[in-house]
Amino acid sequence: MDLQKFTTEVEAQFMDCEDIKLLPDTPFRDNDYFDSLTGMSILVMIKDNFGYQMSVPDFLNCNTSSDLYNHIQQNTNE
Amino acid sequence: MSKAFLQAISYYLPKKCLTNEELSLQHPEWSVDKIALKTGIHNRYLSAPDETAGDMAMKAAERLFDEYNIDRSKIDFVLLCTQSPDYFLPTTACIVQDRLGLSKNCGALDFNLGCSGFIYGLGLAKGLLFSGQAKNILLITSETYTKNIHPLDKSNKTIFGDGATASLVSSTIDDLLWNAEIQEFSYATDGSGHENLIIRNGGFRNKTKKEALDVYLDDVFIKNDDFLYMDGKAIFDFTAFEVPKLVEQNLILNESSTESIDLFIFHQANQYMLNFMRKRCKIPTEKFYIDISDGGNTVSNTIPIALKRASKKKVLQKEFHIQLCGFGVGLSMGAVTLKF
Repeated sequence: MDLQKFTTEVEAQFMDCEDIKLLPDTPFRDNDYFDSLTGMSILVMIKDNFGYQMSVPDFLNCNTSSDLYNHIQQNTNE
Repeated sequence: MSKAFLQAISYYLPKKCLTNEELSLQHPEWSVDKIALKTGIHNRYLSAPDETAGDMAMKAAERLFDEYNIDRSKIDFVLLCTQSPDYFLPTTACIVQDRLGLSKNCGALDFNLGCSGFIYGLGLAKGLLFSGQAKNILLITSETYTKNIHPLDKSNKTIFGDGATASLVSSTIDDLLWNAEIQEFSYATDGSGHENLIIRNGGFRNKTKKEALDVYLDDVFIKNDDFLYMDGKAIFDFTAFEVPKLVEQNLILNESSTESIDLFIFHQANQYMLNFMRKRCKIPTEKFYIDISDGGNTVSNTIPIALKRASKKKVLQKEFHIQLCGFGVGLSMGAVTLKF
């Protein structure tokens, strides 16, 4: 999965906001619709797609889709 | 051949209503709009300080008898699902049998389950009917979870409400009732997750008489072992990864599919979670019933309340084939299909 597709998948977790548009470098927590449920849903999406269980502290250190994507790449390509 | 039918449901919600506006006043950092948007909940109802699960069970059962003109002398078993019983002992079902004026030749027991409780209750009822031990079972769910929520626990205060339901499960058809045939069940349990949704103190494992301390993280209330604790992420993960498997397994067991089922009614946990589960289970929006706005997450009551409301709103119709799925504290899950 490339970064663009991954960003679309992150976007899809904002289920209660239909007109959201995220770019790879958009800080997703700045969106008013983001909350802990959205965060949990993003973590489930990551596990589904990469088989990678990202920890909550690691997740909290990432602010954009790009940060998440890079973290996953670093931790699944070793 | 033995059959078991869900014949009718009535429910009771306590008088005191906690609105999103009141919640926002109590916790100004909690926005009314965001609560409504995320949880889908506008009102939750709180049992009065002197109102118990047994009291609410009575009210729901009396409504059932009145609303459907049910002859209470025909009830030969009471199954009562609660995690907030009136006493450690005796079982609340025995008290309810007496207060309702049911026959003394009636079996009665409580069982301790949360959000999967209604499914397990239907399963136990079906077993009693199929083995010839009963003919007309009063299945009750009744919870006063809000009494176990810490005043500073805004997350759980936002989600949970109290309530009770009463259902009639019978072995015979009655043209005036629902005649929803109870089909095959699927169950699953993962007790390794029991600490993720728990009231740690008060049972015999931790029978402390000292009041537990509040635990904070960065000035935010996290828990107090005398009150309900929920690890939201652990519950979310359990639900996300395990429920879709159970739903699929139960569809196969009943030779059904998402195409052949007319309506899915899952435990009404919160709106975001329900939409998330609907997508993971690949269920079309129009077949997935959400009715959580008035009442919130009432634990084992949510499925029977949703069933009753779906029937009243004619979303649930004759000849419908539906699937029910409950999941939560235990961790415990159950699913079943019904043929209306």
